[in-house]
This record gives sequence, C-alpha cells and structure tokens, in this order.
Amino acid sequence: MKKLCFKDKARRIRKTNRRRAVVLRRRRGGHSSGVGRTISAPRDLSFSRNPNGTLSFLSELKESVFSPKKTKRRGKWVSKSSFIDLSKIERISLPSAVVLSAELHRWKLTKGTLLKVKNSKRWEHRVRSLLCDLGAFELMGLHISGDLGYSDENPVAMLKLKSGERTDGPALSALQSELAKVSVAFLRSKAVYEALHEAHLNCIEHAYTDSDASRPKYPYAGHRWWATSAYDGHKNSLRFFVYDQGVGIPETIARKKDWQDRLANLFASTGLVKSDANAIAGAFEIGKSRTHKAERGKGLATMAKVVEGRSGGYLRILSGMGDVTIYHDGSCTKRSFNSHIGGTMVEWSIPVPGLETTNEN
Amino acid sequence: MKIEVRIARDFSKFPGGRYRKTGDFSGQEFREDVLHKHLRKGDTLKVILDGVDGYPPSFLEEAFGGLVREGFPVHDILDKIEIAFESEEYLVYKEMVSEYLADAADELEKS
Repeated sequence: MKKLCFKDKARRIRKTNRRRAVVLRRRRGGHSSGVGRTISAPRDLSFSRNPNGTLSFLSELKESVFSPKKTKRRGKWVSKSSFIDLSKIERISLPSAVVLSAELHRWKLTKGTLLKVKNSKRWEHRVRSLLCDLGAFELMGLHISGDLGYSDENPVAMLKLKSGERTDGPALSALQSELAKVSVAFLRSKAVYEALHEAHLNCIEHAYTDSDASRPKYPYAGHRWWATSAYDGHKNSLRFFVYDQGVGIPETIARKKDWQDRLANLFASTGLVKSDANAIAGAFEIGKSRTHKAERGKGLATMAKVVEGRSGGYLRILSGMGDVTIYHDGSCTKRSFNSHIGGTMVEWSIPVPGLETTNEN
Repeated sequence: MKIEVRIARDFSKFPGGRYRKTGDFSGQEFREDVLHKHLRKGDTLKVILDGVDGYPPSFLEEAFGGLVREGFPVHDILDKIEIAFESEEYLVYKEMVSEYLADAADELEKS
C-alpha cells in the first residue's frame, strides 16, 4: 500500500469529516451543501391575524430568492441556497396561501430553478392539503400528495391556482364550473364573471410598471395574475381570489394625475389622512361616481357590485400597505400594515344562500 | 340590409376586456372585426346580447364608446345598430351601452 505523506493524510481526514458532516445534516433533515439558509414560516400565516409575521416571512422569502447572500466556496463566490420550512405553520389563511403559492410560482418562472423544501413530512395536514389543492407543490416541482379532501375536519374545497398574462374568459368560466361541482349551491353568475374579469384586467393593464424610473424591487413574472376560488365550509361562503405582484393600487393611483386630483379632493372634503388604506377605499368611492369618466374606473365599481345586497358578503382588497373590506351594505373597514404586501389581493366572499336568492345584476 | 349579430353565436360566449393586447374576444376585436365590417358595407345591425357569461364594462365601453371616438356620430350609431335582448336580465347591458355612447360623445365634445 502506498504510504501517504502528512499532507495527503490531512486532506483525506478533512474529506472524511466533510462527508460525515453531510450525512449528519441529512439525518437531521438539513441539506447537504452546508451553506443553506432556512426561511421558516410563522405559526399563523395570515394577513388578518398575524400581519407582521406573515409579511416579514414573505419579504425574507423574496429577499433570499432575488437578492441572495453570497458565500465563498472553494475560492468562488456562490449564492447561498434557501430552504422554505413550512413545518411550523399551524394555521394558514386562504389569501396568504394564494400569495405564498404565487411567490413560489414567480420563483420558478423567473429563476428557472426548482425549490428545495425542508421537513415537508412534518407540515400540518391541513396546510399540506390546502397547498396541494392550490397546486403549490407542482409549482415547486415536488411530488407530494396530501389532499385530505373535503370533510368536517377540513371544510375548505380550494380550486387549483390559475395564472396568466392575458384575460381568459373560458378559464374564468371554468373556474365557476369547477366551483359549481364542489358546491352544489353555487349558481353561475354574470356579476362574478364580470368582477373577475375586471380584476384580471386591472392586474394586466394597471398593476405593473416597467418604467426605468421605478424599477420593481423584485423581477416580475410578466404582467401576471393568479386566481382561484374556494368553498369555505367554516363560513358557508364562496370565496374568489385574484392576486398580482404589482406596485399596488395606492401607487398606481399616485401615477395618474386625474385620479390623484380626485383623491385629493375626496380627502380634503372628508378630512381623511393620506394612507394606502384610505387611497384604496377612496378609489372605490370614485369608481362608483357617475361623474367619473366612463371609460375608466368602472372596473372597481363592477368589482364591488358582486357583494352589493348579498347579506354577509364582502369584498376585501389588500394592496400596498392597506387592507380594506367593503361590506354588502356599503360600509367599510380599513387597516394599515407596516410593510407592502407585494402586490394586490382582491377577495370576494359571497354567502352561499345569497347566491341563490339575489338578483345578480 | 339588416344583419342579425348574436354575440354568443357569432363572436364569443366569453366577452373579454378592452384591447386585443390584453386577451381574446376584446371590445376592440368586436368593434373592428364585427361592427366595422358591417357598418362599412352600409348594413344595419341587430346586435343580440343574450347567451354570454357576462359583459365586462371595459368590453362594452370599448366596443360601442370606441365607435364614437373613431368618429361615428352617436345618432348614426343608434340608427344603424339596434341593441336587442330576449331575456330581461340583459336589459342592464343595453342601458350600459347607451350610457357609454353618451359619455364618449361628451368626452369627445370636451376635448
């Protein structure tokens, strides 16, 4: 046997130690590269119940993907790998599940790489089932099954997330047909079709900006929308979601002189202070106004019309740093976040009996 | 000659948004490919609204308000295009078309 010199022996020992460390890390559920960074989701992923924890998780996720920290490995600077650990989530709201799935989709579309997931076997069943329904695992390139199906224990039937860069009438129609399959009480509605359509148009035409002056912090996956719907057995309601990763309604308004003037007038006449939430609520108020130029702004009014008169129904808009809910009777609640949600989430919640009895137009 | 255009049959069951660039079956597409085609020939049209999944306001505004912006006088449009429906639930869309024609004419006058 060839006698090794001291240098070779030391190299071999270092190599063996590195291998042992890799095996140990794998046994502990970690990744083998040793330069990974774990992004752990909060226990409660919800914009209503835990806005700060949810926003900071999403922000950390985006930061690690699009501005990854570098580390030196074998003399070369390489990006640190990121792992998403969702095992701590005990509760997850539907809007935050949509936002998370859209984020994972953007990752795949813009980076072209598959994601690495940590501890997926330890995820809470309902979290796994919800993400499975949404198609989030497919977006991550994973083959994880976990659909619990609709039951008393899991009373949410969520449809697979759809996405596109153009409006797609047949897809919107299919969304309603699929919902009719999971909830027999659901009747197809023209108002729902029109509202979803206008929300998609807002995503494509107004949500994103490509000007040099205002480059987005994170790259866009096109002028894209994400949409889905669900039957929520907890609330006995149908919920529709349309999300974009644009600049948000307040920022869009700030770029349009006529809207800005109208909003300034509204704030002056009502004594409201300038905030994202007030800007969103104000935009809907202006959209309702008959005096506003007919070719613009009707989209927002159409979006609000779906819930008008449907007792218990509401339209919720999370955009920029604002969260506004407009109820069936026209009343509204507003709240502000500490940071930008990273786009605009529009949610309609329609109680099931309301769909059967209310005149859709 | 009076031509019957049934939107659901002759164009799409799923009317889209405002412009072609944003998706299929837009108001612009309907105006340019259907309304223009007949108006240029001097036909009068009976546009029947029934049978679609819904009409996004952007579609109706661009299809009919767009005619006004292109220079068709409102009275000519009203003479040559009859908006009709069979089911009462489509009445609201006929009213929207009238509203958009009037608003587009107002805007044009102001500018």
